[in-house]
Amino acid sequence: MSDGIKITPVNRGKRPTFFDDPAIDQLMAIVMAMSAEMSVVYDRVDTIERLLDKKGTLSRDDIEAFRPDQDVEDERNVRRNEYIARLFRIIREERETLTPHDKMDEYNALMDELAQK
Amino acid sequence: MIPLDQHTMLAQTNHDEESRQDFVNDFRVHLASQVFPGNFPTYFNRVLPQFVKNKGREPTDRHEVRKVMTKDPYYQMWSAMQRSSQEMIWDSVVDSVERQLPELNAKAKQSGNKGSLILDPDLEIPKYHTAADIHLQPGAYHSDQSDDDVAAGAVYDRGTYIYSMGGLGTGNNGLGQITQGFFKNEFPDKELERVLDMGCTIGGSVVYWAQQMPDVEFHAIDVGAPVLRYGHARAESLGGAVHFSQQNAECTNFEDNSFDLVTSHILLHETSRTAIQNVFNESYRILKPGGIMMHLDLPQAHGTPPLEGFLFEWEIYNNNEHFYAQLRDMDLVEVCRKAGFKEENIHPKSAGSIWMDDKTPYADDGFEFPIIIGIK
Repeated sequence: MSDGIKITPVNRGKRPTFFDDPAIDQLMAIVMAMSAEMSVVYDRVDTIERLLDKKGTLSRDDIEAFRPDQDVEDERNVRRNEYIARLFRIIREERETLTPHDKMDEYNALMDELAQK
Repeated sequence: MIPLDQHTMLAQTNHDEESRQDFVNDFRVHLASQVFPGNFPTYFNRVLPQFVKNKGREPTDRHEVRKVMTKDPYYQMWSAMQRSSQEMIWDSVVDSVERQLPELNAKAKQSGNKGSLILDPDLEIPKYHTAADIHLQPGAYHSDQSDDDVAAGAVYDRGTYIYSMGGLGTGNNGLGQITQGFFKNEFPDKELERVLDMGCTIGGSVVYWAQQMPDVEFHAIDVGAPVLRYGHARAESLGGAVHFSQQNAECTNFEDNSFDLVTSHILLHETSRTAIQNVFNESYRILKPGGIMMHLDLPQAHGTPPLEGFLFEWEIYNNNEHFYAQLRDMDLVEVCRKAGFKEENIHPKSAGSIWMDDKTPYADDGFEFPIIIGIK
């Protein structure tokens, strides 16, 4: 972060909460920020490994100057998306338990039942 | 993430900033494609049956769906992540802008003069604009962070690209591609001399128009000085001649009967009910006889099923898009009538991604934006 100008919110408004306990909303924000930083570290390690493979030594400037070419970018995209899929395994599993019922069978059965009353 | 097209004003990312932006983009794509769709089975299998059990009927509108869906844990989890992802966009963008801001401000001052820039420090920024930082963008579009400031423009350029998950194309000009493709198809014989784009921000759309039609005189207005400074410099760098000026689209200083075409791209939903009427009145006033008004904006509520209606309004409540709520139910044809357009010259249409070039992500997803047309 820069020591100079800080771009700050003017009027961000009240942050909405979605869970009954706002601490869970805050925890989710922390978990997501950590996930992002983990991904950044992973890319940085990947850069270091590639530079070492190529040169056997490196400097901080080498790391900063490194920009992935398309092949490296493609590899990282695959790895990053696998990482995201692992992060959200629990959400996917919940979705999958609901999806087989997505034909609305239960709902239609209930409507039929109501219609007969 | 496919990189944005380079121009001289784009804030450059360092190693970790680029990686962070890549993560936020991929995270948002994951949310949109893998997590958001789970709201549908959640509703139909869990929320709706419970509602019907309790009330003996289905919800009649999106407001009733809101009351029950917001209590569902799946919806809550998706929402918490979606909100976080929005905040993370700005967090991933501001560092690089803060670091380079003095340099970017200086570059903007020295930009070319194919087009022009006129600012009005006395312009009153409308309340609908200052009420909240739109899309949570820190500093909104209008506040100066430094002298000759371009921060809002620099943050907006990178931020909206990630926000749209690249859907505006690598030139950040997808909406301009849509309106121009649509316009050429609808009005193939219409000759243009002078065109105005209202609420242009950094000129993503109008610069595309100007690049494709170098012989036409393009004007663009916005209330935000820092987005205009940035937009002007960006346009010069990209070779689009556009005359930018700081004005409120409700009441401009342009002469009567002076434009062949007046456009806006997702402006209306950021303004109020009264302002939308004023913008249409103003469009009518400054159009030449036979001139065309063409405002593209976000979908309205009419005819949308309750669940989709509710989900589409997530940003109103959770991403500082409060004024979109008013547009959702407005009758824009009536607004046109009141502005002076004759019934037979009012055409509510829609246009979408078929007009975007094939390289643009989601170019074939079929999403349509409503476009309201009035011919004077």
